[in-house]
Amino acid sequence: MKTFVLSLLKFFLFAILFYVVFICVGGLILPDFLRRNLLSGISDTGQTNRRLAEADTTDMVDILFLGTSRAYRGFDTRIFAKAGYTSFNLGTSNQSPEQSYYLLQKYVVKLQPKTVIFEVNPDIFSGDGAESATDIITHSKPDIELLKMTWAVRNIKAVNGFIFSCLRYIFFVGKQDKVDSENVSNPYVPGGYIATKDSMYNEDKGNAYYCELNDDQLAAFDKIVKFLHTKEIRTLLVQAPVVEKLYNTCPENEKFDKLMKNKGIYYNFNLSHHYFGSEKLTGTRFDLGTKLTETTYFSDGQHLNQKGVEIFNEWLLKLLK
Amino acid sequence: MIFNSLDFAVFLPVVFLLYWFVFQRDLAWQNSFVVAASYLFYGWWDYRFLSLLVVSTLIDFITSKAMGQTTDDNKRKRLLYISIVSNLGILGFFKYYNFFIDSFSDAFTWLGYDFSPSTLNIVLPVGISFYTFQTMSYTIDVYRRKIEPTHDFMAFTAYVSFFPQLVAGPIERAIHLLPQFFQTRIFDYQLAVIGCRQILWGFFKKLVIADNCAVLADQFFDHQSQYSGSGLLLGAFFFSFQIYGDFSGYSDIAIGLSRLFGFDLRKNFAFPYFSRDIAEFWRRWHISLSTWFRDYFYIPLGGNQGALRTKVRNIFLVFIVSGFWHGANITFIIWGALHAFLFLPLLLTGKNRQHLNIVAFNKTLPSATELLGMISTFMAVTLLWIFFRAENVIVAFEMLAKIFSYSLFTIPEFDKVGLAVSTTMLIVFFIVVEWTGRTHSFAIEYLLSGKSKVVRWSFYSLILGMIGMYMQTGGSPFIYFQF
Repeated sequence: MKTFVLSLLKFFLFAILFYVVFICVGGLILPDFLRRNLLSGISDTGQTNRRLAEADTTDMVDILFLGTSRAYRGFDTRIFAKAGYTSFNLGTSNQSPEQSYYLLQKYVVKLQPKTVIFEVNPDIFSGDGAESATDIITHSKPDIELLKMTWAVRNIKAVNGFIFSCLRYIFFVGKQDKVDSENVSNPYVPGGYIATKDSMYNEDKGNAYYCELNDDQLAAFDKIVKFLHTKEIRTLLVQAPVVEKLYNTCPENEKFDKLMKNKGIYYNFNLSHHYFGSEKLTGTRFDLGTKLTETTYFSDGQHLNQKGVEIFNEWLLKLLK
Repeated sequence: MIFNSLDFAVFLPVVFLLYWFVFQRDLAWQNSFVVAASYLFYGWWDYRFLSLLVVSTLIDFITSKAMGQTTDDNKRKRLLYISIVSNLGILGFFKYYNFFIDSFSDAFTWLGYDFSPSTLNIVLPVGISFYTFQTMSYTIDVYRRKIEPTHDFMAFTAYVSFFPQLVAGPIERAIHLLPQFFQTRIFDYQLAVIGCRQILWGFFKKLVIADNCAVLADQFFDHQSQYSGSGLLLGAFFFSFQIYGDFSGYSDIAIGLSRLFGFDLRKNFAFPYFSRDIAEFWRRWHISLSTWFRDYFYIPLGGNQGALRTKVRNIFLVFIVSGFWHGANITFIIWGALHAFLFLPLLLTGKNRQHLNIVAFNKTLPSATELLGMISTFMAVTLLWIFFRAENVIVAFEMLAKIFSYSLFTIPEFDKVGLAVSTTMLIVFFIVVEWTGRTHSFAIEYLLSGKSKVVRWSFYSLILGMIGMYMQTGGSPFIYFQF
């Protein structure tokens, strides 16, 4: 019996070592479709690795952006800089409130933002946050907090991401930037923004909101609001524009608007009637003054192209003033 | 509690250590501990249904004990009926009540009468069909005087509720498993090591093969109208591997776990997709259920004895009832009946027992005839799985109509192509390993047994690595839990 238990323990140690090597080698050599539970290998389309690395070396900004890819592809830090605001975009792929809270706690002392613009939408409240956590885990510098987050997520993708993150920081620091800078169609802009150079509209048929608000995510969101309130940081909740077809897949839009309005200053840039022709601010539903047609102002169903971002950000600047 | 959960990952080592280190000294205490652990395991899912398990256990213990105390055959028969009616009554109510109510309603409506009785919102207790059949086999065997009724209530309760096989089998006969609860269990290193291998392979089957195939099969079956014949056939292939990986994976985990606790369970699957005809398939697929129906239903009906009409009737009855055992839906009945159609010619021509050996024994590859037999059997089984998986009969026939149309010769268009390609590669790996290990009770039982420890451990670690890299993260229960 004791021999068996000892043998089993030895095997587990061997298997753990083997597993680490397997994940690392898999992350480096396997194509995307063959490393399914390793979110990203050395390439990183959301460029979270680069963004978080830059956040580690950035101090004191006027505005901090949080949210999903609609944040890091929707808030252009260069436009805000021209208007005299220093800013940093901490958006990550599918970032849910639980991960926003983690990032906020980690970076708020260093970045000391006066304003937080929090990109919200019903989708981020609907999932378990595993994917966004995995994205952050895979591309962050490994530390004890990250290990705690990995444990909390309880998802094999997060575990694999943590293992690969360790490998990245041991062997590939610096090489990541070279890989990312080759991503010319979506270049990384210092400050965390990702520009969309390609003006072609790519209609992604499969996208739809889930719209089932998850209690854990709502609780994390409340913690964020409370945290920002305690730190006396001005907070704007913004629902970024998406194509009308996607927006209308959520039957809970009205409910979500009411919920957000109760949490703070909230602007929804998705209008049921896109073009009002006036600049009247309603507080919840906001008119951009320009009809954001899919093919002209969007790169896909969820993301504005550069032209769309410029219009959207100009209006945000008006709101900030 | 399901095997592929974190709860079970904590439960198993705790139960294992307590079982061997704390309770081993006293058999009665060890059996009581098995009962406690099994009830916790089952109650984790829904503690209310423990009462059904208790009732079923009590009925069969009391009726069998009473049978042992009398020589009056009529009284013994009455006791047997009490047990059977009670067990099937519980099973029937929870599993089939709504089906019969709906069927009656449909029949009356068809005859022009307005009959709309209300159905009940009944939750099917997990594993009810399995433990009901297991306890019934005990009572029937006591009635047939194949075994003596036990007076050890705790050992009997442990036999009925033994957690590794409680919710999805193998359906163990009392004659085989119950005596093991009367013997002192001695830890066997080799048995435990083989058990661990079997558990590992079971998890690979479930988490890698079945769960990935499930995502792909669901895509085709849930939106069948959108796909061509070639796409639907692909969906049926994925379902074939899903159901095999899922159910045989569960059986492997159950048998492997039992070995860790010093028990020997019967083999439930013997590489059924390498069968050369449908009769061989049924000797290799869900063996514990097939033999149950053979011994307690088919043979009492007359088996393959008697006139041609009787033989045909018996075959159809056993296949239809076994189909109906799987679920309260006409699709299962048709699935069973169609298997009877395929089986019958072999029985009537006396060819149903021509493949009793292992295919291509002592050879690396099968002969052309064997390969043809395996492919045609697999194709037939795959097409019939459509009835098993489809939402209803109309959908199943629509799918078959498309498969047998010109659209079968088009290139299938579907989402998740990357997943399909990687899953197909995993299936190829799976088939190669299964083929290599087909002479043993499970594929990796003695695979690489002549190699060094480093080679063997690397292979097992590779399987763990593949599980980590390719498992679906949503966490899905085993298909047969619903039966």
